[in-house]
Amino acid sequence: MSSEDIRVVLVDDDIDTCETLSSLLQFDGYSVRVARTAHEAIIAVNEYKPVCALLDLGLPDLDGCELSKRLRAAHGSDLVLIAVTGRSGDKAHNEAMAAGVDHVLSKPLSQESLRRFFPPLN
Amino acid sequence: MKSKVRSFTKLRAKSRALEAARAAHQRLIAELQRTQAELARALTLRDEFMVMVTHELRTPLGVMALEVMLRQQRLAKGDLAWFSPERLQSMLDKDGRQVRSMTRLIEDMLDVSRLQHGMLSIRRCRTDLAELARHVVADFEDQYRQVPLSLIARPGIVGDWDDSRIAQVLVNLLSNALRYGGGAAVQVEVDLTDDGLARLAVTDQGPGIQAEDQQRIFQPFERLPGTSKAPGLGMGLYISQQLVQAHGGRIVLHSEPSKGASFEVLLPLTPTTLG
Repeated sequence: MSSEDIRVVLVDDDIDTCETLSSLLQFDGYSVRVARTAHEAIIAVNEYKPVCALLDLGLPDLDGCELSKRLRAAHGSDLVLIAVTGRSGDKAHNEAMAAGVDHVLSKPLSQESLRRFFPPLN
Repeated sequence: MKSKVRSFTKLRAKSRALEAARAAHQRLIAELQRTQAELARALTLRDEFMVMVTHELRTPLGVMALEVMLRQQRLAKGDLAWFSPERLQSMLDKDGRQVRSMTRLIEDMLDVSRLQHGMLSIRRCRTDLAELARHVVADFEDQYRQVPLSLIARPGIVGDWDDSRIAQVLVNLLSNALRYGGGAAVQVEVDLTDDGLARLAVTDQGPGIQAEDQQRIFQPFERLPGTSKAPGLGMGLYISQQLVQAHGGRIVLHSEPSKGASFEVLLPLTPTTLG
């Protein structure tokens, strides 16, 4: 598999976060598609067939945990779901894990936390 | 017999006094319990507020941290061509947005404090409402490209208002409409009512607001059910209403479940109080 084939769908309603995160992932060799709402995320994952979806839990149209449940139900365990949350504490973490998320990252994201899951491919 | 009656009377008087003392004691205990509950609620609110503030700071701080990382990586790779004039301009715009977002957060916190201490000041100047709305809407169009946003403005509505405060109200109402409007079109209108008030309305086509929530959402820290994970301090509508009232105006909400919401700001053109 070439690095071009490692696809990530990035879900965040904040345009600046989307742009910066996708630039960082692309710099490290990932192919990225951005979704700004849960509705866009469902379409993007269906069409783009990513290995991983990196999703913010605070979305405008649907709760991020609910989106995770739907993505998990539709795509099974093949899709890696990584949630990003600005809320601290076990509650937010546990809710995301219960919704089928594989990993939870806390904001603000650091290079270390990002590269733990997205090592440079180039 | 008389002495028995006297003793009985004394006993009854003592019993009444005791009963009165007991009732006063009970009232004191109840009052203490109420005060204790209010204090506990105030502490919980303070803690929740601190959590919200840190949560809100994390997004703009996070973007800046990631941007620094990205730029360092490009520099380390010697990729100077990446820093084109267009890219540098875009970086500056982005940094500016993060700074504004953090500044706004701090201003909101300060406003709440000023409002609670009666120290909010209004600096009136001649303000063209259509012009003000055009500027605010243009800023939002850049940020929310995925939501259709329209402005219908009657020109020439000029009043004595604090332009930055009225812009702040419009920013708050528009942020809510774009955030909670379910991605459907949002409309801003500027016109005059039949009784000569300036009218600034923001209308979304979102899920609407239940009648029982329509008063509550103007209280500090209050949010709509199901929006606890959405960004924001839950202060925007409270601050907006206070700012409009400080201009002698009011905010009127029209909404029904599943039929969207319309927030109407009604402002007298000159400093008078609405009847």
